[in-house]
Amino acid sequence: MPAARRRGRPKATRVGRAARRAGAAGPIKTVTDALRMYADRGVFKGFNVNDSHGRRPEFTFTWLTRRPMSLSYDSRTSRLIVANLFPHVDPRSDMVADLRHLIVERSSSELPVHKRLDRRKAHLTCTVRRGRFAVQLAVRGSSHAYAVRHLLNLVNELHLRLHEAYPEYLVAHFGVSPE
Amino acid sequence: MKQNTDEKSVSRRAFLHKAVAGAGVTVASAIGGRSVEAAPDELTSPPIRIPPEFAAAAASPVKQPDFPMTGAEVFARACKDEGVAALFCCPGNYPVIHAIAATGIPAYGGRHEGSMAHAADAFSRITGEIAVCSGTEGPGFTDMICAIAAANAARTPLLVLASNMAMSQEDTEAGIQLGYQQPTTEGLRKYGKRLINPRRVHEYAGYAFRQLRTGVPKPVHLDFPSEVAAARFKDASELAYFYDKAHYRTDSRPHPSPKDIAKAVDLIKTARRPIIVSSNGVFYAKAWDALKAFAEKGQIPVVESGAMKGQFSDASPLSANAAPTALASADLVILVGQHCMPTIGEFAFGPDAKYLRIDQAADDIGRNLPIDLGIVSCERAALEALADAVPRLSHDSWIAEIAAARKRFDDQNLEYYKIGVRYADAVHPAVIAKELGDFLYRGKLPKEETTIASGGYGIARYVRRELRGYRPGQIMNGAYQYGAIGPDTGYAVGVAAAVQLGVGPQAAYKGHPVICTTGDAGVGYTIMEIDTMTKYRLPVIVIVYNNNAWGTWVQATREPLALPIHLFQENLRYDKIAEALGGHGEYVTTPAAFRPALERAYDIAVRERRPSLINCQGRKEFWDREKFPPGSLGKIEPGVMSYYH
Repeated sequence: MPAARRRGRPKATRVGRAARRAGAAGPIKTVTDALRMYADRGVFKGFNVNDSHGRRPEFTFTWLTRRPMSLSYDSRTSRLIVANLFPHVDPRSDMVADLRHLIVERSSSELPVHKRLDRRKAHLTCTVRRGRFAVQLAVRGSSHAYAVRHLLNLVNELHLRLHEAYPEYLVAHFGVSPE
Repeated sequence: MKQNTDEKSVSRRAFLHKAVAGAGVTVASAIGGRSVEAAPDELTSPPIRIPPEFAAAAASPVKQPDFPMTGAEVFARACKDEGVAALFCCPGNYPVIHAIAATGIPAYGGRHEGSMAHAADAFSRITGEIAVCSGTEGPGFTDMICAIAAANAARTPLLVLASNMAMSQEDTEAGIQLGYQQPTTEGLRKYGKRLINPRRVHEYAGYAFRQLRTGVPKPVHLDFPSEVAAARFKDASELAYFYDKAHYRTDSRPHPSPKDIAKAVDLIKTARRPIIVSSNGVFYAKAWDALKAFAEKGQIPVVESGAMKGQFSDASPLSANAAPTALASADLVILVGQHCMPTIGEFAFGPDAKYLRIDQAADDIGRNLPIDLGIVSCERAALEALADAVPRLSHDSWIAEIAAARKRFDDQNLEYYKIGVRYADAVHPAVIAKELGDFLYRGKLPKEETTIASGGYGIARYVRRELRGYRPGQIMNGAYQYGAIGPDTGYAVGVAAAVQLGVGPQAAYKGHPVICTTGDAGVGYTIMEIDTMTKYRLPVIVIVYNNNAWGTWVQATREPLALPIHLFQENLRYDKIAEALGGHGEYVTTPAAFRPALERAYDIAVRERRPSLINCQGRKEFWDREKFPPGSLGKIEPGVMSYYH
């Protein structure tokens, strides 16, 4: 079965693909501009865009640790993806459970509005595959700039949780000082 | 300095009795030292006592140096005129330290030049005043290197003095202790000079104090060849320069431009969740009143970082020190006197936060963290201007978010405590942290009373979560930036001296006991300073978390050949070392025993002015999260947990 069918999407026709390509340019630009703004402000270092197919640009930059981070935008599914946010994790560990809890909590009505994910604008999921903790944000409508902002703030807060409670993980995999 | 030689001596008899009697009896015998059947040799052993010379020194008149003077006396007089608040040293550099002591500047002699230099650093960190450290040429000087580096990282105005070889013997290796000092402190100081012209000794005192009293502070290092210290001057005409400090430096400070203040107010007015980061510069500028006025008028929360904490009270609903999960929500960060700048990712603020930085050093603004506005100014002047210019603002929902985060943090600490107290066969660090917090802030003591020398490595990650500052200079953040864990007991000497003398913000708390927290690795470096505490009647309670290992041992768990590098003998009795040095010792092996031991030690500190060491027996495996959750903890900065920046 084709990968697209397995993910529950209708198989793309030639016309449909062309239409999506045309329609994807706007969101891709929005996502690119939103991310580039952080580079322009000095938040990201070494910002780079790789978009060989024109539909799934991959952005790399160095931000919270010395390890470069990679974020991609899949225009076909309208998803922002950080596929390898935290490598070498045990899916059954307390740490992963803790991170999952933070992600679920992101839609809680108990969170302040500015922190809460607006479900009308985006839907957040996380997965662990082959030891890689990934987050995905499915963007609804034209909320791409909102989604970029929300995803980056979430990534920051996930890192903070690791700094506070699981420092040895950051020492082992992100070059954070053990001191 | 008043010394009390009538205090009860600690006899070897009592010490040996305590060694076999256990913690409960320890208390009675340490205080009473009686009703013990002693062996004959114990009865004949002389007691530990403070020599009568300490009382004699306290009664001796202070000599105001005047001509004719030696070079050392000229320099000492400059120190006195500049208000140097204390000298910490070991013997060596004799003409200079003797001359400084003779002026009446309180002088403390310790067991190791490094410890005493750390003491001087700590003294400044909680008083804001200049302290001097000194060592002899060669080894005395090089013993101070770690302390100079730590003071440099902490931006402390530390005056480092050392004798040095005679100029006439330069390069010869005649005698001993030859060393070129100035290259050694390169990169560890703001200014340094080998004094080579005796007639200019006063002029170079001016060079030193200009650097110490202005801008961003850091250590200043002067080395004295014997020709300079021993030079004799009949009158001022024999000196190249000799005039009052009003003529060689200024107390004028840079003030913010009105245009910058207007821009800052615009940023503040448009922000929904502004926050102030208050650091060293606020403390040294004594800007805490201006900080409070600005924060309250703008209803802007404050979080602290830096080498000392307490310039903004944690009793205020605006304090965000213990609200780490709220920090990422800030949309405007106002950094005030944050000399040691974090890089992106080291502070908790989110990617959308704007940064406004206020600092005296224009050449540092914009380093590491990108700014949206930089203001070159003395911290106090800028805060006063902002307090005047900012309108009354309301950020109620932001304050509520911080309150919720604070509650979450407190709940988390309580959860750690509940887990820790279940480990009944050893003392978990969460128990020490919580019980200490209860004792200091939620018991009988006024919560602003006790000054803390906060140190340690693994233990610090629990204890810092519970420590709070309610007034300026209440917490000395030992590991700040340089990360040395060994100086803690030395730091405590300086903190206790400052409180004993009531210098600066410690005036209202003069003479109160001081708490020092450290680990077994840390205490190993400087434990001999218990003797210094005892002989100067510095009532410090040193809490040692003893887990039989360096806090780093976890990294070697899979390296059997390397693991012993990280381990000590188990169950070492640091409390007995304290007793042998004239202090009081407690050995605590269960969670329930900690609080009573702390209360006994505090009682001794109040009544006898004697230091105590509470040896809390933990286990290294408490850092293993799998077996002993919550394991070793990390940190979020800024706020109570911070020590990097």
